[in-house]
Amino acid sequence: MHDADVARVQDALERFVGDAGCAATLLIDRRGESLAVAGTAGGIDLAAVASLAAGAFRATAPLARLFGQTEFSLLIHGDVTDGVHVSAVDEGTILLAIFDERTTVGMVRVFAREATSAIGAILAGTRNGRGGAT
Amino acid sequence: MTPRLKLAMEPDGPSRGRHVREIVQQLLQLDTVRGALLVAPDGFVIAAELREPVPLEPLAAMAARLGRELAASAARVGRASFSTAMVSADDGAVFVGAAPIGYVVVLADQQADLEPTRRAVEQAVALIEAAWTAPSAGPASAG
Repeated sequence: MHDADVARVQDALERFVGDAGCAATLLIDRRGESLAVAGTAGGIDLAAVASLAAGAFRATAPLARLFGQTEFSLLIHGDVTDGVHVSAVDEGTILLAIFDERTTVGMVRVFAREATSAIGAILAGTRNGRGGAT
Repeated sequence: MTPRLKLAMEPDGPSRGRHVREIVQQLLQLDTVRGALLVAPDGFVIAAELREPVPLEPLAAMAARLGRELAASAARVGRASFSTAMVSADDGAVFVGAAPIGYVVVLADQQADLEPTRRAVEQAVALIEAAWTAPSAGPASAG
C-alpha cells in the first residue's frame, strides 16, 4: 500500500472512533493480524482480541452457509452497551470495534457501515493499482 | 453489581455520534416529552434519552416496525416516504419521524401539545439529515 492509502485508512479509522464513540477500532486480516488501529481500550490485549475475533468470524461461516450465505457480514459479541462489533470489509479484511457504555451497538453499527465502505474502497483501489489517489 | 470498565477517555473534536445524541437530548426540552430515541430500521437503539424507566427494546422494536410499515405503505401509494406519524393512547402519544439513519421516536405525555411536539420531531429529523448530508463538514449547529 502507498503511504497515502495507509494514511487514508488510518483517517477512516480515527473518524469511525470519533463518530461512533467506540473505545478502539482495529482493521485486521482474516488470520487475525492487526493492520491498523485507532483509539485505546484500557488494559485489553488488542492482539488477542484481533486473533479471537477473526477465529470467531471464521467459525460462523459454516452456519452462514446453512442460510445460503458465504459468511455473515456482521457479528456482535457482548451486549447492548459493551462488546465487540465485527464486520467484514472485503474478502481479506475485517473491521473490529470495541465499545463500552458510552455508546450503543446501534450507533457503532451506523458508523461501521460507513467505515467498512470507505476502507473497502481504499483497499480496492490499492489492489486495482489506483492506490495513492486522493 | 460490578461497575463497568471505561475503556478510554472521552474523545475531543467533532463527532456525529455525539451530535446525534445531543439532538435526541434536545427533544427532552419539551416538558411533556417523557423520552426520545433514535432507532435503526432493524430496531437497534442508536441513542436514547428517557426521564423515567421505559422498556427500551420493545419500544424500539415497535417503532422500527411501525416506521418500516409506514415507509412501505407510502411507497405503495406512490409517496417517497412518510415524514412524521403519531400514535395516541389514553396515557400519551408516540411520535415517529423518518430520518436518514433510522426513526426519531418521541414519547409524549397525555397533556402534550401535539403540534409543538410534532415540530420538534421534524426539527430533530432535519438536524440529523444535515449532519448526514455533509459528513466532512462536521456536525451542523443544533441551536
